[in-house]
Amino acid sequence: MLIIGIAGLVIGIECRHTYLEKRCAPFQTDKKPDFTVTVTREMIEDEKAKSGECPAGADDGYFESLSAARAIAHRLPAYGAFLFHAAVIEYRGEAVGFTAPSGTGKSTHIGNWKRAFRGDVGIVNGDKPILRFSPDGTLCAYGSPWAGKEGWTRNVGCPLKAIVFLERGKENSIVPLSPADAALPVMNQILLESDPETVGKTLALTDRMLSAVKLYRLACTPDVASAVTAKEAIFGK
Amino acid sequence: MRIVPGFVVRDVGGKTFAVATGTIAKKFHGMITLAGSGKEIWEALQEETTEEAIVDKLLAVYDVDRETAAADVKRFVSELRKAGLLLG
Repeated sequence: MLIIGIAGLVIGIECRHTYLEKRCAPFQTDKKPDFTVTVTREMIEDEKAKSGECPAGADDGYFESLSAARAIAHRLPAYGAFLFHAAVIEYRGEAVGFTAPSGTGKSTHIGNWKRAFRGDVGIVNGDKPILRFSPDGTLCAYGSPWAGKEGWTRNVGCPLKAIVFLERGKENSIVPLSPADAALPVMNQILLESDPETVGKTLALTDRMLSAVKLYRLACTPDVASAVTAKEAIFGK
Repeated sequence: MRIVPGFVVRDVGGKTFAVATGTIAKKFHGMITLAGSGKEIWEALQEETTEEAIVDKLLAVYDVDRETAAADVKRFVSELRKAGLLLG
């Protein structure tokens, strides 16, 4: 069994393929799991059926990894945590999450942050970070084995300062969003297919998240100025 | 008629959403935003009722005429029916 430690939780994963094992390596621990998920053949087939477009070379190992993420996502809300579909970076220790439909240019935008601010910027996770409220009420973003096609992830946790909805623009502009404006787009990035109790807990956490972080919509060009526009709005000049 | 069981209703960011859970979530993807009278209509449909009875409930809460309320209920109910979310 694989055992990983993320967000202060120890998670056991019963699986067969090396794909997931490799991705779990930075998170491996020998502590006793808080909970364990088992990926079955049926879950893998289910995941294949659900998948619309999948990367070239997607094999059973790839789908087993997605199945494990889904199974873990179902268990997290009981611990005050959830899986969020976003790319997360940290700027001087504070995290920013970017969400957008695939192909919008999330990776390009993050590349621009690295080019503009170099050592002040670090990757947290490229695709599915875990978010969890600390006992003091701070919402933190943690890297996970589910890191997207670039494989961007680190075994770190940072307080989440802002969520940015990314769209392409002819020029760079950023506007703050209210929790009401952001509610639906945020919910679309969170797994809500579960039992009533889990869904209820997830929605309560989502509501809490919307008042805990700053929310923005960024229209951006593919050049480095887009990162400067975003950084100045979120962190000041 | 009444709404199929299995929806969870919560306020998120100051808006009210109904989200499908369990087996209903396999058939119905996505979520429903409940605004204005939609909340009362949804609430009324938690138990067996009729369009007429829902209109009466709305008239007790909102300062509108019967025709307007009836049209609201009809529209909401027909959308739910189209989505396969009504029993009976």
